[in-house]
Amino acid sequence: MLIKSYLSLLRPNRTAEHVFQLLPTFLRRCVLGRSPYASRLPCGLAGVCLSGLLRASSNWPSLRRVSDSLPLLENLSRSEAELKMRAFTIPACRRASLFLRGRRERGRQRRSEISICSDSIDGLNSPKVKIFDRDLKRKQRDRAAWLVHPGDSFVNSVAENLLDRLEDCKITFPTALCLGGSLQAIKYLMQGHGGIKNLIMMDTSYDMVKLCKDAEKDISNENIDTSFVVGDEEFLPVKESSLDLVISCLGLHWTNDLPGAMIQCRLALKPDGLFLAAILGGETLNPRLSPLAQVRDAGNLLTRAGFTLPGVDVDQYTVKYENALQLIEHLRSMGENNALLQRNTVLKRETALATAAVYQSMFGAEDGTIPATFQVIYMAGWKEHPSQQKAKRRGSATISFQDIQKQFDS
Amino acid sequence: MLYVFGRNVFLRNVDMKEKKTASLFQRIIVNCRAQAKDYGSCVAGKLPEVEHNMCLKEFLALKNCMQNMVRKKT
Repeated sequence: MLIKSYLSLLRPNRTAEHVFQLLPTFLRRCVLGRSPYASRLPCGLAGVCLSGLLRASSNWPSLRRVSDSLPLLENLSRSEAELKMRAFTIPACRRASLFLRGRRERGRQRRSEISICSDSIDGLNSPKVKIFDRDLKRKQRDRAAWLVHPGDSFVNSVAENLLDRLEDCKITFPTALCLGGSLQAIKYLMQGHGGIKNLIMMDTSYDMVKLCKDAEKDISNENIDTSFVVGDEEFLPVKESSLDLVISCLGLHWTNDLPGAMIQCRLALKPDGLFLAAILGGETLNPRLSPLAQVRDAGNLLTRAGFTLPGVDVDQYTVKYENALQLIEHLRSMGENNALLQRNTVLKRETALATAAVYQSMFGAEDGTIPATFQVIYMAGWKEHPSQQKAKRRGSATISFQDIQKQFDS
Repeated sequence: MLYVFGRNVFLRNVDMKEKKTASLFQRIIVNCRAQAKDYGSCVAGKLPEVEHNMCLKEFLALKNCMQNMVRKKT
């Protein structure tokens, strides 16, 4: 009976659920890692057999094949769809292989991690290194949403600065996408800047999006049609050439593949669309573990992503705290905790407090407060459009600098 | 309906745990200021040559004070 049911697996169009239900309960629990025997039995062997059988059936997503039924990536050119699909299925298959291992192994694998996938959205063969644990970052942002901090002056000033740049533009931006970071601050301070009619709020964490959605009832934003999406900045669920504006306020410095994310933003923009981002820069909380973009790299990032007329500027904010633990609290409420894959997961109480003591003596001012610097890099880039000024062709100069100098000297 | 109720209870418990730890840390910082200052100045003075158990005496004094704080609550 069991043999017959397994033979029927080899029939095409068998989905993963059907296979799962055909397994005896004991093996099902092993596969899910819930049985206490999961790590002791040859679960790996069961997993290998299962995955082999499933790949033989046609419904398992495979790395080599582009899936036909992706409702979100409509109207893309074939090569771009393929690139996006490859970027999309790699995490799915990694997830599947973690799912089939035992629970103990899963913990061990996560700790010793820098996994390198040789795939990249921009077509170059640069390996995509995973530095940040995106899953953990999502959980940290969930918790940040619970620790509501509406009067956060630092985040509010960054958001205001960013939205001010919209005032410098003559054109309006009817459709806008707001990528994660400080969504609430952007919402509160929007106030009709830039003539935005349709606003899409996107974040990896469901709780953060829900918080914005609930807060929407309090703000009377006439004429702004807001929609809320839970999505990853590295896999934008947006149609190509559909947005006028992409804003990200302190959201993009936790992406593993920042150039890739910016390229996807550029693809999502209409011609003559604007990309505005504020990210934390390299001088933040110096000396620092987490790799942050330097100012000199910001311009390169914009040109690599294909934006024209790039503009970068830097702002340094110094925030004072009573003690180091308050600094940590503030970082937690912004969702900026450490999410590196290479991190110690254990922190003893005395270590934390001893560190606070050392921090106090090293960096403390006379009145006992601790200053912390946040360097914010504002980046602006436009998608190509024939109306934008371009650099002149080499050799087309009509006046030399010497003539200009003579004119000024005389 | 039940799921929402469970989630609210979970969040309330997380909230209470946060408040407890936060208040404990505040108490430690306020009451152990002298020991913390000693330890901090000891380490800061010896930088950048940092070794394990360099300021052990001061660290133990600080740890003692912390444990007293924790014990006083319970």
